Amino acid sequence: MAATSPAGPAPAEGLVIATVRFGTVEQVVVAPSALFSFPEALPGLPDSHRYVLIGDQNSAPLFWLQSLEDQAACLPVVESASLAVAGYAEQVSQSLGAAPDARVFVVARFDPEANSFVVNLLAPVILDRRAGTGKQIVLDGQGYALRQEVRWDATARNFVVPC
Amino acid sequence: MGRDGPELRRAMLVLSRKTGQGIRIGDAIRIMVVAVDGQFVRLGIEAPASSKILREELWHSIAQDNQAAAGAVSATAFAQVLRGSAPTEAEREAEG
Repeated sequence: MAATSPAGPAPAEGLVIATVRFGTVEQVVVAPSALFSFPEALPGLPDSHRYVLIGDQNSAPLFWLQSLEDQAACLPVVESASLAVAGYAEQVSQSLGAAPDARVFVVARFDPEANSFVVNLLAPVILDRRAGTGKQIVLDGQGYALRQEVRWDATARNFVVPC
Repeated sequence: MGRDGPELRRAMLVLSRKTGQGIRIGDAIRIMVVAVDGQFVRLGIEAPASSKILREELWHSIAQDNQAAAGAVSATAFAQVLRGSAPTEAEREAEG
């Protein structure tokens, strides 16, 4: 997936958007396929219904959901495939029903003081590539934490839940 | 924000219902009072599968978490750690 393009003139089909993923405003070029509409806004961010997924092989598994309506709203997310949480992918697919083109992300935060990551396993964000839509679902009553501390395993390149 | 408590309450329609009575919201959503026991009210809800039904406090926790993540200024450090170029313990101590 080439969400960002190398320096140079923007390809005809590329969209230039502003993002604050690193704290300052930065222009990036994204493919139209990186655009996702959220018919139902994410809880807490009621004014944003259009997001762009920023990130590529270099940033993976870290990506950003940058709101196009609210420049200050930029959610760091990690792809669920990078979570070493037994049965998680299966639970999400079960809750989704049939969504073959869906990519599953969890909202993530990094605490530099504690050098720890916190991911929201309770409410994953689902992006449907075919429909170009996104939503945040809730895996209620299945024991997943809203704030799950995880450790980054740099060798396996995945997030591990500490014992 | 438009979704905080006080604003909700200002616009809130309040109805009295007995056990076994219900409310319809539009033509697709039906809420029934199943039982009342002291402070506890058991509600039955029929709604399209596409409607997200959440306890208010759970919705609120998720909203707070989304806002905290969206406003975090630590994305640079986050990306560095994942790239494996995180400062080591020694570097952190030297820095602080």
